[in-house]
Amino acid sequence: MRHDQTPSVEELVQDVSTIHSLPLFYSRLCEAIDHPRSSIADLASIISDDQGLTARILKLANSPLFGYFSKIETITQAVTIIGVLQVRDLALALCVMDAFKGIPKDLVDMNQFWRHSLATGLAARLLATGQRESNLERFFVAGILHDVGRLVMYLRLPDECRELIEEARCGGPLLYQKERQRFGYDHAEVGGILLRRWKIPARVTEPVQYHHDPPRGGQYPRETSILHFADVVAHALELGNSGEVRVPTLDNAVWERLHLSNYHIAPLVKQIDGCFEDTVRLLFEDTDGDD
Amino acid sequence: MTTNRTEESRIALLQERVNFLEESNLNYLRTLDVVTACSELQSDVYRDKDPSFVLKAMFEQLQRLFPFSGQAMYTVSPSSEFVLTVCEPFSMGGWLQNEINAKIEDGTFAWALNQNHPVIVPTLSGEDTLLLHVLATNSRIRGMYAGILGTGHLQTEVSSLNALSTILIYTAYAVENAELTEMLKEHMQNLENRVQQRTRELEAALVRAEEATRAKSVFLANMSHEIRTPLNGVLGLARILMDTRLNQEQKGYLESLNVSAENLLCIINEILDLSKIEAGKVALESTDFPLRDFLVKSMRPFELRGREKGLAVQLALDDRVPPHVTGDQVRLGQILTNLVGNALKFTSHGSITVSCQLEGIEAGRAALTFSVIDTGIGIPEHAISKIFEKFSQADSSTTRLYGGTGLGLSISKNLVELMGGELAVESREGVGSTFHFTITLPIAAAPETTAEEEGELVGELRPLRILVADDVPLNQLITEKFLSKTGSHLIDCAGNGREAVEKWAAGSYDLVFMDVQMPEMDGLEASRRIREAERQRGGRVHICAMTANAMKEDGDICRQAGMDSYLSKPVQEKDLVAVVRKVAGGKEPSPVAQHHPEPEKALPPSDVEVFDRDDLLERLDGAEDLLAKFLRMFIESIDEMLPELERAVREMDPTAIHFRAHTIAGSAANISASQIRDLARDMEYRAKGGDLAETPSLLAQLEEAFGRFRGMVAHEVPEG
Repeated sequence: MRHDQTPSVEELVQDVSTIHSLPLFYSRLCEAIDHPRSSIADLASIISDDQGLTARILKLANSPLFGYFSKIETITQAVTIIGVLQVRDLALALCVMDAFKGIPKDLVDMNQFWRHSLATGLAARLLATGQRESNLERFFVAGILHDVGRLVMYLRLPDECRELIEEARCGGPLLYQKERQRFGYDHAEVGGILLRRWKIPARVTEPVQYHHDPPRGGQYPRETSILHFADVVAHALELGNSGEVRVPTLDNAVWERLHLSNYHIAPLVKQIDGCFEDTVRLLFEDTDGDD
Repeated sequence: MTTNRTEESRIALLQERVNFLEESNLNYLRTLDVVTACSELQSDVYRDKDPSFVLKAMFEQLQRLFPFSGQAMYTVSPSSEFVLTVCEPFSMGGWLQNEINAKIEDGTFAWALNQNHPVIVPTLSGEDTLLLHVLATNSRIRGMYAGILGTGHLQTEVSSLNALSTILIYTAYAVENAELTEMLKEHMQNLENRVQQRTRELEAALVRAEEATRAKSVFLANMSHEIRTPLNGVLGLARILMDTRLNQEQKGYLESLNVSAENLLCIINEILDLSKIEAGKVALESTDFPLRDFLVKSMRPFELRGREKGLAVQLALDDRVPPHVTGDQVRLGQILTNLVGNALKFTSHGSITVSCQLEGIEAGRAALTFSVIDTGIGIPEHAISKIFEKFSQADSSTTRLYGGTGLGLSISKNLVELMGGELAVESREGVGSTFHFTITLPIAAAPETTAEEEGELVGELRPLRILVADDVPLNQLITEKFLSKTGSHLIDCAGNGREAVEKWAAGSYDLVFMDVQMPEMDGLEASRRIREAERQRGGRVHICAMTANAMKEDGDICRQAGMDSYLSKPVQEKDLVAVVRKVAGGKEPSPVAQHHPEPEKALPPSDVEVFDRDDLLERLDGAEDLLAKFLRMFIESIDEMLPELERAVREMDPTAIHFRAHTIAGSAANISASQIRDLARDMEYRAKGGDLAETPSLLAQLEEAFGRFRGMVAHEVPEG
């Protein structure tokens, strides 16, 4: 492969988004939610069409993460109790995870990649809980998807990425900074643009796009700040890995904006530790089995 | 056909699509309308304080989104309980409470509290649907909304659920804003109250502080009074004792006593001075005085003291220094005395130079630099900044070595600053120190007369009639003694102000020494009464205040009460003399002989020696009528005392002889009977020395002399 001409973000995403498309079911789900006459029953029946997804959503809904007191048996129950948008967001996360397969193992260990993503998602969700944000699942989803741009780059520019990763291991700037130097864009930007192309709502795509550049948080500064901080926390805890080996610098403005103090950190870490392994098992058990 | 059918089905499909879009459009418009309508909740909240009004308005809007058969709002009470606040229809309350209780029990309620979205669960019967939504902001949970949907809950439209969430969150913020506004108002009210309260407290504190300051001044004045009164006694008695016959050892002790007492007085004065300066109560006087003469004279005592220590104290007076200037002579003297005193204290060999240099003259004002240069121990560099602080010396061992309060420099510095200068010091340890300051003083013209100097001479004055008003007998005695040294005055005493006024009214006095603080009637009041009475009676007696309150205000107060002059206790002899001299109006040096016992007395006594009538009359200011009275008093007292003296001589009791002879000598001196006086004094001294051999013969001579005296004055004193 020749690298004289680094492809633009658009070119990069164009190719990937056609090959690795979201399952059709997700767009059906969204359409149903937006339909003025659709009811909860309609949504439940759409989700129920995908047996694997249904099982995983129900597992997730019954996990300690949600902490509902009694067992949620059906998707209908899940939708009425967990919430419509929440179920949709969970479904999105799971769909995206399914969409990326076949990335060379030597470049990235997908298991480690999703572990990092999940840790970030959990951290974001727990942070948002503390901030009393509404619809916590969008934070969870944004966390899971925040490094999806990296997957695109691994698929389309595997050699360059390998070089960068090796370079970054020897020190110097952080990986995302090297990406910017080399390509003129970083994985966050790639991820944001991909998600936008998939018509994911802006309050998920924007935080993903700016999670290494929170001052440019645009319309969703709080969401971007939380995601940025969650990413730092996940790196610091060394739960999984997506290529970057060092902990990114925490933006001071983020710390200020979230009104956090050192007292918040210890309980947060404790909560993440408490549910991380359980959630990993719930989400990846069968995927691992499939491989 | 088939194309037709396809056409038809396509038209139908399109029709359906159009219907759908129209419906969507309507639906969105309705939702938007509902949300817009809710924005008015905010303004309602401010207008109407009752939140149930707002909640009911919200219910109406929600009713447009869902066909609720009932709606209710539970709000969090101050005791953190969920209380049913609004229920529509009202009749449903009981049933709804039952449903909610069930949901609280199974945990749904608690679950819903933590979700910021609608939670939809079936009712107990399973026929209806219960929709729960928390009413919460980012900061806190304010309540729980409950809605009952009659029909199957699964038909609930998803898009409307979002709108419901939006409205509830919005309402929560509206309610919270209203509450915050209310709180803000309350806080502002509280703040205002608190500011008012604080202001009152501060005002009260200010009053208390002022009272405390007053109390401090009074305390200071009282303390100084309390210390000065006994000190007055000590100093006075020491002076009197000095005049008695003492052996060398006693004399030494007495001198030490005197020095200690003077030092104590000096310290008290310094403390008072400093507190006055600090209180800004020192006003510099502005009088003309002969600067050059003043400096020369001021240095004299130091030259003497320096000589004793083997130091040369010299004055380097610039020829150009103007002879007369206007300023505060006393304070300038105080500064120089202090600096030179320090220099003497800290210098053991070498010299002390006081210099006064003219820096220049501008607009009739002379800039003068005063320097005191010594060759003493010097001041360590680290201590230089500290020496001007009160109560501090270069180091604490200095205090032990050299004594002093450490107030002198502080006072001097303040005084120099009051004069517009700055006291500076250059010093090298072991080499010496130089203190200097520059002040500008207006140049004054030389006055015509310089009579003042004559005042230094001590001599007997024209006898005056003097009234001493003092409640302390000892002070009366001391004042009397001092006064009697200046001449043969007629002295009466009064124990309080009332007595003083009475005595004044009965007699005619030239001078009244008036203690300010006395029981029954104080000196101020007494003076006022005397001045008032004088307005009818005519004449004006000189009243001199005597007070131990050396505070600033005293002078003014005394003047206001009509007093003419002012002495602060302990009274210094020279001050007292100055007052007497001023009143006596001139000095008439009387025969000096009176003071010294004549060694040779072989010649038979002349009449004048027996009784000098002229001398007595002169001292009585020519009052012949008093002469008889005095003579009779004298004869009566000698008549009483002679038998006592005889007994003492018989018993050979030196103490008693000494005492009796002393009394007789004093009385005789007062009445101008010099022969009696001399004999009695001779006896007194011999008795004191333990030499009693001559006493019987002296007693005989004394009795003879007294007989002669009686004979001489017999015609003056009509018997009866």
